[in-house]
Amino acid sequence: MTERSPAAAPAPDPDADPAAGQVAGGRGKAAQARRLHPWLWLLPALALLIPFFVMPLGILARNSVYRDDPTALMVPDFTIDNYVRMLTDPYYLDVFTNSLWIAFLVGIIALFVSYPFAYYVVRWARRSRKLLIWAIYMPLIVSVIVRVFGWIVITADSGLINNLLVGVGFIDRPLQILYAVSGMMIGLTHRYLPLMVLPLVNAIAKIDPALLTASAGLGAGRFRTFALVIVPLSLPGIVVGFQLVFAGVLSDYVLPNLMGTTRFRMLAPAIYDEAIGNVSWASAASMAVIMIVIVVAVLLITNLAFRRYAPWARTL
Amino acid sequence: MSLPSRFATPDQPDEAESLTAGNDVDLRLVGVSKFFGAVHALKDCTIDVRRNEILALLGPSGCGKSTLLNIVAGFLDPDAGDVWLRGRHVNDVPPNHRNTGMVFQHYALFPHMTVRQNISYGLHARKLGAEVIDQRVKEMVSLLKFEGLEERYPAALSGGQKQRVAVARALAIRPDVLLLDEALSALDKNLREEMQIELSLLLRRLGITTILVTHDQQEAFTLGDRIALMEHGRIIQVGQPEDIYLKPQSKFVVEFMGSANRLSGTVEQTGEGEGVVRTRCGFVFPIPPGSSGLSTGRSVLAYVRAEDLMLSHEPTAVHAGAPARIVLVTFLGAKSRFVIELSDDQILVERSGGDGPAGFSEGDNVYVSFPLERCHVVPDD
Amino acid sequence: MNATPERSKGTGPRRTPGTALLLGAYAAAVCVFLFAPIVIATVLSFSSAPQLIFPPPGYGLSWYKEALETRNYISGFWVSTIIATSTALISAVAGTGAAIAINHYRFVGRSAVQVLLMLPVALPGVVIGLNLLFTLPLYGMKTGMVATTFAHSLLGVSYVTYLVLATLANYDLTLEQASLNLGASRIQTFWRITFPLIRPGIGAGAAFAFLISFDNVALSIFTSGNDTLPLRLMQKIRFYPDPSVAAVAAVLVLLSLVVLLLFGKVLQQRDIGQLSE
Repeated sequence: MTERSPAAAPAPDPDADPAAGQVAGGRGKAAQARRLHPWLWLLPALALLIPFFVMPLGILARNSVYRDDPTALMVPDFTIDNYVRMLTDPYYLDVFTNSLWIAFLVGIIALFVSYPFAYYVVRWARRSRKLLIWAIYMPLIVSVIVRVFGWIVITADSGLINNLLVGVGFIDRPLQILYAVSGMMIGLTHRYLPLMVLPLVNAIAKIDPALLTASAGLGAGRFRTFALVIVPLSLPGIVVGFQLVFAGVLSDYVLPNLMGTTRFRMLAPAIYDEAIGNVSWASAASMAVIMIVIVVAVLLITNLAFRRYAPWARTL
Repeated sequence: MSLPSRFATPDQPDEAESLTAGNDVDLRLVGVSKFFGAVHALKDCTIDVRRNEILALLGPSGCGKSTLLNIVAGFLDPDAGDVWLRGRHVNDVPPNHRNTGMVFQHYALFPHMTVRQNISYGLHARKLGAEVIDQRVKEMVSLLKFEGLEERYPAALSGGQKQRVAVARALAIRPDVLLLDEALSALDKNLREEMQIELSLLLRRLGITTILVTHDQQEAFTLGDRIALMEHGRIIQVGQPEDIYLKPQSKFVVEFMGSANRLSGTVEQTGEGEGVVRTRCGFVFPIPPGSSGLSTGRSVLAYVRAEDLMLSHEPTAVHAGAPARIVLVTFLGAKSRFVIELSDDQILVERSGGDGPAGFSEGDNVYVSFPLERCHVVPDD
Repeated sequence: MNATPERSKGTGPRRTPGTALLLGAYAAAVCVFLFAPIVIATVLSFSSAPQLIFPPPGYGLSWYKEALETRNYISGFWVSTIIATSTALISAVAGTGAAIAINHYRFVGRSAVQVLLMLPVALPGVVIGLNLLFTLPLYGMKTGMVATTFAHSLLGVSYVTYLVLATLANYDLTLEQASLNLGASRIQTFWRITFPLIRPGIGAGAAFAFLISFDNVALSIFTSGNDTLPLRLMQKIRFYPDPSVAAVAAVLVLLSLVVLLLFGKVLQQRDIGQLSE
């Protein structure tokens, strides 16, 4: 005997709560208790982040509108003087423009130094590929202090480079590389090179080899294929790499401190000096806020430019 | 017997108890509905599963059968409706306290545990003694026939072996209800058919209440005592395999069940005041017994299965329409297939028998007929 | 003259041996560039002269002896080790919890939480350090090891969450369903199923958090006096550098390798098939 189960008309159920989420939905105490679960898992992380990261960001914003008092540390107030000073006082303007300029330069240099290397790793090196990838990762594991120390030995007035050049007779007096912008830039490029290479390797590796065969088949020479097919298709990697290097260089403290010069002030040491040296907390706070704005702005601008001028690359 | 209203609360367990205890119903779903955001995945599903019964939830992908199974297991909460397991209202009971045993489509064997550890996992969770566990494991191993594999890790098992271990693991805890979620679909065809038969025998021997979810009609028919056909979140028809096949109650059921010819037509009155169906391609026949909703003038769809149609070189009694022409003959081994052209429509006729097309060739003019009780007429919605 | 392509299909423009050589040489040069300072620092540590002359006039282990006897370095080393270990532990716990929350559940605020967890690495270290400098007094905390641990953990949590999420991407959620179905509680399910299977990711994250913390400067300059090893090395380099720094540097390189190898072994052991229940 055939049974028939009642299949009622599809009236929307008044008890149902579609917004209850996909996890369990529904009513009942068990379901409600279950909605707490993710937050229980998040408890340790939030217990760390909220007091030590989120709240401090708020304090930063607040401090940046306070006033520095020569006698009494920092006075609660509401003033935008700090920000005005940042944008008008030549000292601070120098700091910002120096850092932006260096960050941009190192980004470009890193790009040009890394690209052939990344290209080689992806498209040529077969036996040595793993080795080369390791070679990129290894310096990251070694402390930055170690690496800087090595560069100091290399670039000092009586260091490796100068000894070589003077010894060969190329120059009479040692070049000022260390404790100058050039030395600092060498150090920065060295530190952030891996951050450019790895995204490039990923992006180039994703390029479908069939496209390159197609290009060759259509009669394009190697250079044309490289310029018109490979480079554009690796754009996502270029953008990410540049963003990482730019943000890193802008925020770097160690390199300017150890290899730079006080005549070319960079942002991170300047903030430290302002806060600890001058004990001008409000000033330092406003510098830090501007720094965040710059980093976010650069990220947004590069992303927007990327999306606008290379919309086809978004799916790569 | 009245079903409890779907607003029955846990405060009235007695009502539920009395309704299910005497009837030996292991699972009862009443008015179960489920939304995923704006998608209405289950619409007011109500069904009983009796003790020792194997119920197959059958339907195309997206029909909600897996959702229903997950609600029974407790991994999803219904947005409306109630679930009773062995008379217990379990809406608020978490999945680890429902005593259902689930076999997953991709087995979900714990990769870092041996077969033995996998099977005894549920028994350890129930804090059974070491001896009992040992005994139970031995039992499962011989029942599902994978002696010698106890110390292996899942990565070292074949698909079929994994399947057996997965079933053994679920059965080891002696569940009230066994749930199979497309449990055989990851196996290749021959192995799957073998397992269907073996599982069928095993489950019947053990007498364990089972719900199985599948999109494979053959699997449902092989394993299921009863079949519940689902479409778009609704249970369309429930019944034994023969009933589903021979007495389909809706267009969906017929079309899901297999290659049936679909002929459009209308209901008309004969001179004697009797209702007949006249198809566009020329068949005229009385309304088959058991059809409903067929009033005069209604557009209808008449379904006849390819294997129920008959060919002959001479006109036959009633059902034959105008002569038709064979346009294609295919010999498939166990059966032969004919494509017939009948005034604009094309009909598929299948004829079993190793003797092949037997006298019917392409280009022949033939007459097509069918037994009335093998024709299902439903309103064309 | 054209070499046959090395890959079988779709190799693109033909590669000449000339280009391969050129690019190969360039890659080698870049490798030299990457390793030069590390190699030179290590070699210098064996110098016998007190000046930073390269190549060293003579060789010996005198600077290692000197370094191991310098209280400044020793105490700095222990401070950094304690902070790094604590950071690794805190980051492992917090990061794993966060990864599970994000991976297993769809809840209101999920994307906000994901962004929040990524921010500490995205923002400049000096900014975060400065913020902590401002905020610590409000909690009655002083600069020191505890403050530095919490600061470093901000970074550690980010990395651990990311690494554990990557591990969870290959993790089959139905395993947990199976465990629940068989009768285990959620806690039991975590310890017996989830944790063993994501241990490699947690281990890698913890190792990374350790190394990041040990090496950190930007946060430590605000949250600790001058206590950590990197800060002490920095000071020495700035004001009176000598090859003892190289010796310490060489030891640090060794330490990093050991930490990595240790966790590499842990990763291997957790290979499926060798784990017992």
